[in-house]
Amino acid sequence: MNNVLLAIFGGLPLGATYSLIALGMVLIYRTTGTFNLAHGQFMLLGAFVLANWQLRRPGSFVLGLALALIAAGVLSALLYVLILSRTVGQPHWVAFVATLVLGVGLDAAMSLIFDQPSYNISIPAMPDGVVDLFGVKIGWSSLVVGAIGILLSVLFILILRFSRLGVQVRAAGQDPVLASQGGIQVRRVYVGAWVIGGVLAAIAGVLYGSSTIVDGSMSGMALVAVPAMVLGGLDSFEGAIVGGLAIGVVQGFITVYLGGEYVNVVTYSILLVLLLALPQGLFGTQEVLKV
Amino acid sequence: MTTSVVEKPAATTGSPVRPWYLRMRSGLFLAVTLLAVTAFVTTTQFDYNIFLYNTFLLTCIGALAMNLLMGTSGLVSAGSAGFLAAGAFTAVWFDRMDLPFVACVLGGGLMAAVLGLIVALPAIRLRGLALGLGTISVHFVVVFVVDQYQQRTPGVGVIGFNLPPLFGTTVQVQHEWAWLLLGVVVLAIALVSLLGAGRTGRALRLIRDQEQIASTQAIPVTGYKMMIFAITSFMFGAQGALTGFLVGQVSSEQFTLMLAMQYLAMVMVGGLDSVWGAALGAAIFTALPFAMQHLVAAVLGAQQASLNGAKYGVIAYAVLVIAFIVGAPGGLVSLVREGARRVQARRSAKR
Repeated sequence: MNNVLLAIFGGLPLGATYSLIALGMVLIYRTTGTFNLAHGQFMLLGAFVLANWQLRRPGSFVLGLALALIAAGVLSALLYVLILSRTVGQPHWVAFVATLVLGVGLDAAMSLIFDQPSYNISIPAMPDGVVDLFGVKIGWSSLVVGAIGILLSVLFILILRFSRLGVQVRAAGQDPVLASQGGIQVRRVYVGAWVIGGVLAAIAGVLYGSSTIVDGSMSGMALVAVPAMVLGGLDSFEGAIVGGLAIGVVQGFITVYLGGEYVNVVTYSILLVLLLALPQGLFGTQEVLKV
Repeated sequence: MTTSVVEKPAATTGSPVRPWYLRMRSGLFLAVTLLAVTAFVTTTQFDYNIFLYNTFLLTCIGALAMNLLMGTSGLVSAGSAGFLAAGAFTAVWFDRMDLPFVACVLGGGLMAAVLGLIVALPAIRLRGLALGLGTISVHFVVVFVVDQYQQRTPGVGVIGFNLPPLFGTTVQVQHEWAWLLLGVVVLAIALVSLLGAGRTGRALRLIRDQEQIASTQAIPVTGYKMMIFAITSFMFGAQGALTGFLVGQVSSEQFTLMLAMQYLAMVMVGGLDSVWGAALGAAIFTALPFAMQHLVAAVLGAQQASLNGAKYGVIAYAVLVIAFIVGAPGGLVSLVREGARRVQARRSAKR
């Protein structure tokens, strides 16, 4: 019983991080149709910028956070405007390869700029110590990180569902021509979606980085968030949250019962099975092919 | 049986069925060029440069396979490092059972081909993005398996397995390797050109461009996809085994997702659906790390070069790929073709 709780509570903060990453990726995929495999690099950039800021000027958190979010948002927008918007009309996998390669290049560039072996992020007013929950000792910080992540994700979905902006985003993604006829500035929405996606990734990076150390390996988390995205359905925002939390908890169970080295292989096996058995995911739109 | 006499059409302009040596002329041309280059390199260069040339020849095998898989058949795969790993580790496994070199290489290829068939099972249902994601997950599963094999074999550890030198320890080792690998590459060129020309090639390109129409034309789409995955995986597996023997050492850490991406990048930079594109891509990506190393050493100093040269190499590689994706989607081959066409147009305009 204790192990089960340990797995769940260990997996939830991770799952909340995956949710935030997957939300951004779904947003980008739904609006511009690009599956962004360089998403983890936005996350890493956000975490690096804030951590570097805190290293130089200890104590000033808010300004550093703002800088981190801006950096990730700007990078994301630049990638779209300069590179990925130009792959429209080329075969579908061109954008896939482009984001993969961009990810590798950004990783190398960031490891040159941020050259310490590892960084730390400290969020002020983050409670220390451990809390006893149903007989399991959990660190306060990981609980808070999980809660913030889930709250932000839900808030984000509510905005997309009930605000004017949300309608514009969904409309521009579904049918760009019709949306532009209806007075929506489709191109602006596209760039906006990339900015928001980048900012969400940076938030995920800061949250996750505050619970561990920040180093280059963090950018691999976006690849692990891909199973979460597929589980929820590639184009469903609610699915991204459910999938993210589910994959996080599953990874918690793998860590507790099998050991850390099995996490990746089991997660990717799940992805493979999902792609074969349930390609549209839990909440995704089924792809119907008309000839 | 009545013999029906089909009247041959009178000499048409540009007969529709060209003889095989015309259909495969770019492959033939490439093979002859490589032969000449090999002769030049083995006679004029010294050992380390021939070794580099050998890695280029090995990379050519994979690039040709990738070209067949992605350029001709339109199946995107990020799993090539997984196939390389499967081939290399099967070679290690066979070598530990004291099987001869040829059995190790063929075994590596066959093991990768079986794996390729398993990957092809999703490929029947998956297209585009899902196939790309599926091959990424296959990559991680394969690398995990070989890593476990490496870690659980006593006395191996992090360094990896050693493979015996093929040609003993004579001075001429690299020369002999160069000629052996040239033979393998020529075989690969022949295979890819044969499959890319004629009936099979037309079927594959139709599957790439219009899969639904292909199935209405009585083309066995599933069979072709399985076949292509098996063949290209065999090539990758054989390459992995050969690389293991050339370098003499196999470790699971060599097979990263980055390696898989390099093969994707090679065919995109070189040019899709072209044997020349594959060879050019392989040449560029073999030379790039060394060129960058020298460039960094010249600009930032030797210390930076030894410390961060590899990272600058990766950045250069990413920039190169992105530049081609944005600026010249057809790759180098289409750039050359375009240039030749312009020159010709200018010449005929002058007349």
